[in-house]
Amino acid sequence: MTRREIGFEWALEGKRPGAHDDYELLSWSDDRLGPEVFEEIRSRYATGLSADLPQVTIAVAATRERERVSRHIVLAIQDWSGHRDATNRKIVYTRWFYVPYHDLAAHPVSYAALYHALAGLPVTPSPPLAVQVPEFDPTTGFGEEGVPGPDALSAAALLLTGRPVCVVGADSVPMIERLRFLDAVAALLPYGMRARLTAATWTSSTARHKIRLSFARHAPEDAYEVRWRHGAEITRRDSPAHVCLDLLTRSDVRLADLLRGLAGETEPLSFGPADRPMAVRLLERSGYPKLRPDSADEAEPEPRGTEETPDGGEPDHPVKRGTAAPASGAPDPPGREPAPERNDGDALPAGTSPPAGNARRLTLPVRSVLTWLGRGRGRGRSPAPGAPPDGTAAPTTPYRRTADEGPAPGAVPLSMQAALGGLEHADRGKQARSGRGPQAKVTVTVAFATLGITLIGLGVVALVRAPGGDPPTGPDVAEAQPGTVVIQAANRPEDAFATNVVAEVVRRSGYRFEIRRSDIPAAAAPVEKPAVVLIAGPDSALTGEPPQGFVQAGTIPVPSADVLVYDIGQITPEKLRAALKGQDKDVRVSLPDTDPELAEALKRRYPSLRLQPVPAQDPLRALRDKVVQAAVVPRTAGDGGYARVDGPDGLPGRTILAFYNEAALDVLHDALGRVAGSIDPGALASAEYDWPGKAAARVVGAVLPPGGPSVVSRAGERESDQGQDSLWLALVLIAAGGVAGFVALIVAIRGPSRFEPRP
Amino acid sequence: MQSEPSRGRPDHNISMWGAPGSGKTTLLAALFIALTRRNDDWKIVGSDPASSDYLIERTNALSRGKVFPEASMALERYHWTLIGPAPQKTGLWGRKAKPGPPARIGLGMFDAPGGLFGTGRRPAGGVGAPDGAGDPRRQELLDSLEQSRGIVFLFDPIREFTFGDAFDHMHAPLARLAERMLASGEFTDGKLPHHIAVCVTKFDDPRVLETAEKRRLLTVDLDDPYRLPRVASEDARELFHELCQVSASGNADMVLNALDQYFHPDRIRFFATSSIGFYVDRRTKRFDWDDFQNMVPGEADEDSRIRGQLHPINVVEPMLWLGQRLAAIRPSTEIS
Repeated sequence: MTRREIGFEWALEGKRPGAHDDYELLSWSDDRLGPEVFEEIRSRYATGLSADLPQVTIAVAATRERERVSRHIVLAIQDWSGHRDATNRKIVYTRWFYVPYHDLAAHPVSYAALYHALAGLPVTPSPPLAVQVPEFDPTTGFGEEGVPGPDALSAAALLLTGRPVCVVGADSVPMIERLRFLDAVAALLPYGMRARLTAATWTSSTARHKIRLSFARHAPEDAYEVRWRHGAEITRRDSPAHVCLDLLTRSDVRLADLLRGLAGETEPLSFGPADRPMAVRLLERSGYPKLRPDSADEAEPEPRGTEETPDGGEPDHPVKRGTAAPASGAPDPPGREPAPERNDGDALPAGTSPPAGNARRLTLPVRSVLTWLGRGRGRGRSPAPGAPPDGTAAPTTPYRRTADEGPAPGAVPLSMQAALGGLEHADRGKQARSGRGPQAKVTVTVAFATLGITLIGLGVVALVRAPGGDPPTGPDVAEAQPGTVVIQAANRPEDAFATNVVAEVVRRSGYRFEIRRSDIPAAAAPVEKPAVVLIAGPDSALTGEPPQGFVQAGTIPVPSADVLVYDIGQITPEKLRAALKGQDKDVRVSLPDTDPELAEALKRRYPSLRLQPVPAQDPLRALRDKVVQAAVVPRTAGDGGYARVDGPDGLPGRTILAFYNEAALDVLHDALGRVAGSIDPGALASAEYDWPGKAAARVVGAVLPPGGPSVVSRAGERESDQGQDSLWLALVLIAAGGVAGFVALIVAIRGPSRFEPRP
Repeated sequence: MQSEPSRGRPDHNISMWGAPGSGKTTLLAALFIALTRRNDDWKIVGSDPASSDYLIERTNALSRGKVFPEASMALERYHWTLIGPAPQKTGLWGRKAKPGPPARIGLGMFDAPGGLFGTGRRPAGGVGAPDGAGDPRRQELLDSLEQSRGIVFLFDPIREFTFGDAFDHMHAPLARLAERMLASGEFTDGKLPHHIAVCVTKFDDPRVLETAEKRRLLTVDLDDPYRLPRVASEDARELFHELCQVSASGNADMVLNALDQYFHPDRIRFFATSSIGFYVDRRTKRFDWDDFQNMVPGEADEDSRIRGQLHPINVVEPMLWLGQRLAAIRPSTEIS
């Protein structure tokens, strides 16, 4: 096997024997990297102390020296030193080895090979600082099976979401096997991602760390959990991971091709939102090597240098020698918004261009999908700083396969294209915003405003049409559909109970109903259709004669629009009933001053009562002030918790006469009469009759069996308690309209920053 | 499907503060045993699997392995819940009282390597803050102190006698903490909002015990079957002051002054603490002034070991005091 010489720098962290101080840097190579870099990195990637040593941590570091950025892969080996401190505690040495990434890019090696080469060195290595490391064979290292297990596949796929991944359930697995696992996962990603991949064979479950791929007994709360040998359940909700896992496990992808292809992709790539889509495309390209375009004019310019931030969202800024890039390998926290993509040359030395052999080109189908989506990487972007001005990496015209050409041989399946497109969509939110933001803003604002206006309008209509307790009605002139019984009623809210009773009887008889209203129901009743006419009883001045051809079906007692309530602390029900019978003349009763007809009727019926008009806005005020012992209040105003006078001694009840024609008789038979006869007039004053719809359904339900499926009126509205439901419906519509309007306002103000790509 | 992060936060955060080797981790490790030794019904339960693991492993290591924990190398965070006895409600008309729900105090404990509290040793040619404030771990430490409203400050009299650096491990984080609190408007009355339990550790060391004995600060709890000597909380400050007199650097008295300057007097409480306690012969079951050392220093390549059973002294009390004081100030949903 070919061996390569890899240079390194080193630092030793520990305590001096017998020391009373904490862990510190004891020694380091005095070469390019300064002690500040070593301090920074050892502090940033602390993982705690395992009882089972040695353990290995893979970190990364980036430094800038004279505008040139150097990247290092850092391999930290933690092991017992054999010494003890002042309190007789065992001292751990952590040996930090810094290997230039450009050496590893030129001669790829595995983590395990690097560990074996470095672990055997003295604690403080002497120059020359170089080790011989076997060359990397990406197709090996997958254990006896020779293929990546579900845990490695899951971990690789989940890493491409940007969130950290933690492998659990491997407590008893030897360190070296865990290290090989890290290699296996890294092999399933473009090799260039190792420039930003941090990993550890052990981390403390109670320590916060910045390791992207870790082993622990319990996964941190912000990390994906992958179970050793089992993997993780990845659903479409974990969208990028789902897509990547699909790519890695497709049956038409040759594993060896995939791994070799990925190993050749050595251009540094971050796990940030800017580079993850590129990583997926490299994954796809490696899986379908035949799709690699060989022609230079099909190459698309590759923006580079998009950097990951300490939190995965913003570019890092490698600084001068002596300072490491802040958390260049730290994973994204969940929910972090992707940062704008950069194409500056901050991460790479100015004046240099990517190695030609590493130029990334999209496969044609994927590229055409991305072009179609308008989110292709590099679209509309200026060439990277340092790119040759002669345009060797200049944008080319996007390739579009014509219909005549047919599908490309060996093309990526459509499902894959769709998946990749979805991923692009998820990760290119910022580009989409910058390209289409203002237009989208206007569209979304107008859409929300229109929705808001529509909802509010519907709400107002529903509010206006709420009849205060009537079932829905149709226009007077409408033709009833076959199988429909017309209910002709007066246009009075207080008739709602009777109307609902009839409607419910019709419904339970298996027929539709249509309610028509008019001032004189008898005059408008259709003769040729099944119809029921409701006419006020003889106790009302509005009573009338039934139309020709109609016979009486029953007399429906209906609740009064008002109720009589009393203060039981001031008057007993017996005394009040006596007063109503004229046996007590000292009882004062208030009533709203807006209903003189009611006052006249009460005077006639109860001449001994001392009636006292009160403002209708607060009909209970006199009762609360104990000025009166009882009060007549509209049913809709509520009884305020006072007791009601019910039974035949209460306020005079009313009746509605129901007539039906022969056609209606055929369908309703005597059902209406039976229901009408079952209504107890004495109970009508109770609160149970405050909602006419519900009361009617209850009354009818006590007599007739449940009907078939909900029967609707001509307008398609379900029979319901309109007095309640219409009001709520109207309020809900108006509220929803208000919300939509508010959203429109917010969108108009905040603009594109509020648009998030759909994951 | 992968779940989103959703673990609950503790009600109150408490930070351990002390120089390297002062016993921060050992005190936490002894917490479960200390609670189990008590006769009341207080208990400690992990609020997440990792925190429960720590309790189980540390308890096993101390009680069975008889070994001390290794030095911390990272800032560790534990989520525990202290569950107290259920209060008895008075029954009406002589009826049997019905116990109420037990008191619960959720605690988030921060345990940082002691070196982070120090001024740090800057590498040659290094630039940056004199206390290494740019160090990510120190920032995390300060974050934890800022989030906490309870501090367990460990004063190691043996280390102070030998090196005299307790003040070195106090003033820099204290100054940074005050700076942060001032910026956040929580230093308006010139005091930090924290409660601080000052633990004089290693009370089981003969030198500390003898100092307390000479100052006539020792008491014995009559309910204690082992008759272990203790220092009452009211006298622990005096013990602290007395031990400051033998500081190698002479700076220990500044620790006391700094505490008084930065914390409300009623938010400071002193404890004379020993995580392992005194040795008690299993046959006599009585403290013996001639044979009480429970720690056996290790030989050249051996761990220091615990000789007998653990009888932690004032390990639970600082936690309970802090927990109850914090719960009284900011009752949580878990406090019943």
